[in-house]
Amino acid sequence: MRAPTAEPYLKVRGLSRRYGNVIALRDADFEVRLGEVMALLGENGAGKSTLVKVLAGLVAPDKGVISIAGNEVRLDSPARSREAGIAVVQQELSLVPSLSVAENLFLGGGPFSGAWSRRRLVRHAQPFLRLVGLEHVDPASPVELLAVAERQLTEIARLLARDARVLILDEPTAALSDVEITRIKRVVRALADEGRAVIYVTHRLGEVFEIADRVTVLRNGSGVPPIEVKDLTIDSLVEQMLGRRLEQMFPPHGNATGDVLLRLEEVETEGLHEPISLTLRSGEMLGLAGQLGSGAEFLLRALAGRQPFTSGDVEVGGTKLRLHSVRHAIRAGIAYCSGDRKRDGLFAIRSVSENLSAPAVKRVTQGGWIMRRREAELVRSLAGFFRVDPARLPHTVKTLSGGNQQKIALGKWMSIEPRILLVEEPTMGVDVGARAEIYAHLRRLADDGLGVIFTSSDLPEVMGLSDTIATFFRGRLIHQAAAGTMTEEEVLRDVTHPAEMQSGVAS
Amino acid sequence: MTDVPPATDSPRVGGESVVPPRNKLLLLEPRQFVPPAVVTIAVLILLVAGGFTTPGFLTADNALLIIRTTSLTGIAAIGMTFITLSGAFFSLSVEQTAIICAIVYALALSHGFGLLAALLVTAAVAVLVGAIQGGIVAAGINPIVTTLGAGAALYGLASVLSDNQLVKTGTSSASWIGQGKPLGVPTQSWAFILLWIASVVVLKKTGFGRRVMLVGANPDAAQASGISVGFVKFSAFVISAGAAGIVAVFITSQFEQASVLQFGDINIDAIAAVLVGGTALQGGEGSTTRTVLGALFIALLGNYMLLQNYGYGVRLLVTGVMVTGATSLFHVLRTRSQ
Repeated sequence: MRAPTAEPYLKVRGLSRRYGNVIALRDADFEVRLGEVMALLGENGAGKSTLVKVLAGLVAPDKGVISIAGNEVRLDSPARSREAGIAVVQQELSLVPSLSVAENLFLGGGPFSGAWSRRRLVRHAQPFLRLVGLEHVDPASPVELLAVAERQLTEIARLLARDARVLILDEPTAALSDVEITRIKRVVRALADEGRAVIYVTHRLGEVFEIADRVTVLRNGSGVPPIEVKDLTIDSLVEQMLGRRLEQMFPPHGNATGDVLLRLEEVETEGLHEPISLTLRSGEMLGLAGQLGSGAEFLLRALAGRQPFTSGDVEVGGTKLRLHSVRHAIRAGIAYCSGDRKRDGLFAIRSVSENLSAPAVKRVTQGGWIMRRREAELVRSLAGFFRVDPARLPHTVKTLSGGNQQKIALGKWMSIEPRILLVEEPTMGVDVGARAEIYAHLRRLADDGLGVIFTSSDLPEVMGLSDTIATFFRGRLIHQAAAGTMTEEEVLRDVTHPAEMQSGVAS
Repeated sequence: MTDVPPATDSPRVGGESVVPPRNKLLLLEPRQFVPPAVVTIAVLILLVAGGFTTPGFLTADNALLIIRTTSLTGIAAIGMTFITLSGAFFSLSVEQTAIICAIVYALALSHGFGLLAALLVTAAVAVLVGAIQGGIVAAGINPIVTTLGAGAALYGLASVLSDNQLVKTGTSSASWIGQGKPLGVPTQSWAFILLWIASVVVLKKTGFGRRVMLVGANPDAAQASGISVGFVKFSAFVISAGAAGIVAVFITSQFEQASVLQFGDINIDAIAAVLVGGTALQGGEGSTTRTVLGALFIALLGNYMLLQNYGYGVRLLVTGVMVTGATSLFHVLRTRSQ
């Protein structure tokens, strides 16, 4: 099935682009053939997004040559790029939610002229929907009724309706769950097999092996020649990206034999369909595996005091507690690092220092006054622990990279010296180098005696990081077991379509 | 994917910055120093241009006048800054709060209350008025709508209380408050300077001030960090109403009378001072020092136009354009620096 034409269709030679003193692309080469999926990898800041923007006509390169089918092209505007047959599926979807699927498909001019009648639109939309595996979707239904993955596919269909030969997918799976990802991947593969050139930007290394034919790794703005996927292993790929060996993605497991920190007895909360009982020991990393909407995140939110437990007992360190509010939880030593750091994790326009001390404003004030010295010491020690460059402390958080932002979102919670750390999706939108670092930090915290509970829809993360795994499916705890006793397949089965739905708690 | 890499985000492995910042100045981002720099330069330009073109602009008498005007607008604007910083945009009822306070103060004095008692009653009214609006906003209601409605209601109440008449205080026991000039400087200006210093100290040095900035920067993150967003917004409105009450006392004391028509355009002037000073409309970024510069600019501009014999309409027009212009300019600066 994978017999792409040998000659590159889109070819980029010696592309350079700087922003001020920052070199985003340095003499980068890139190519993609018709009929292949070319994965584009690199850490944050390696130049991926700049390359994509150049191809999309959004950014003009300082120098370099781009040719399509052997002819040099100038992509100095998005319109030019579209005429050249290049289409970019953005991470932020650009569909109009209230319009129908068909209307969205032909928004901005369809392949036909004349009056738009509903029937004509629907008839024209169907073939494109079939191409992306959405034949079951009614073209007349509004986009807002679709699931995220279906919207993503509609977006792709829209680009196909413009007859794009080169498709660029910029992290299409970042916001999706595993099952949805499988669908997207199938479609992407089919599109390439049909003879289109697909450029697939991703952070998830596993995907590369599943759908890509070749890989281009960007590092510090330069590309290495494309590598055939069949010549690669995960380790060699990581090495290519970092330019060094990543000793190990995951730190060694700990032993969850400390005191019981948290005991949940038959607790219920909105979003869970069954009472849940769990225990967490000091030093333990408890991974809640589940797809988006599995209910695991609701359990964390209730523990964080953000939504009430409707029944059951919560014991923290042997004391029965009622977690009425976020402040109660914080006072009880429970820290909650949400999965959406932009929304409620970080103060983007405030300094790194102020972000780090935000949960501890009370701790660093005395009689209402902020104790400068105490705050500075606190912030410095946190920055030291999480390896944040102290020179960055006065900067606003928004100037940091995703990985550093995540370290701040996590690190600020250490300012309250929590006993229990709750983390939602610990490495969402974080590149591979910083990811390993965040895992190491979490493990160090557990080794210091914290109990850590995290939710994750990323299977390798759950497998690699947890001491104990609890699987969730549609608001129910399916299974709880020590990490070593469950295989990846068992976890995957539990979180997608568990065999026995009646099982409550097994330990 | 990241946007255009900002100049400070160098390629890095594991959080180690490859290119360390060279000096302290580089640590400042444009959004942090451009707005105050712009308004400072504008004030200087206005002083120089006004001095050369307008007779009577740079005289001691006029300076005193400007200082006094700046002071009253400035006091209201300092209070308003807390609201803006906390992310609740503005109060559109500062003027009406001042009116009700003035009427109450004048009525109290005219009914034979002692000065201290009259001041206490007025303070209580100001706090109550601020607390009601702040409470509504803290409950999640849009502050613009809340204060617009409250403003109309307060104005109506003041009209009823005063029977739409001038309320004479009937005593000169309070006149020194509005007319005194300790060390040659009007009392209003002393209050302005003291409140300015106090507000800077509160915002920079206290836990409350820090919370105001954090709530304004991201209320959801503040809530998640255990900060009571409602209390912070509530307090901001009480502070703003308190500032309006102070303005009311000064003006009423100065003229020994109060009326519902006495407070001109405090709302727009205070908003103009906050925005021209460069405090972010979205909150979480700015300072009362910027507001003081903004108030000075507005007062200078108004005085300059007055001396040039521009009518009221032209002055209001220019102020309105300044607000929109400054807001747009700083907005563009902020989004550019992202």
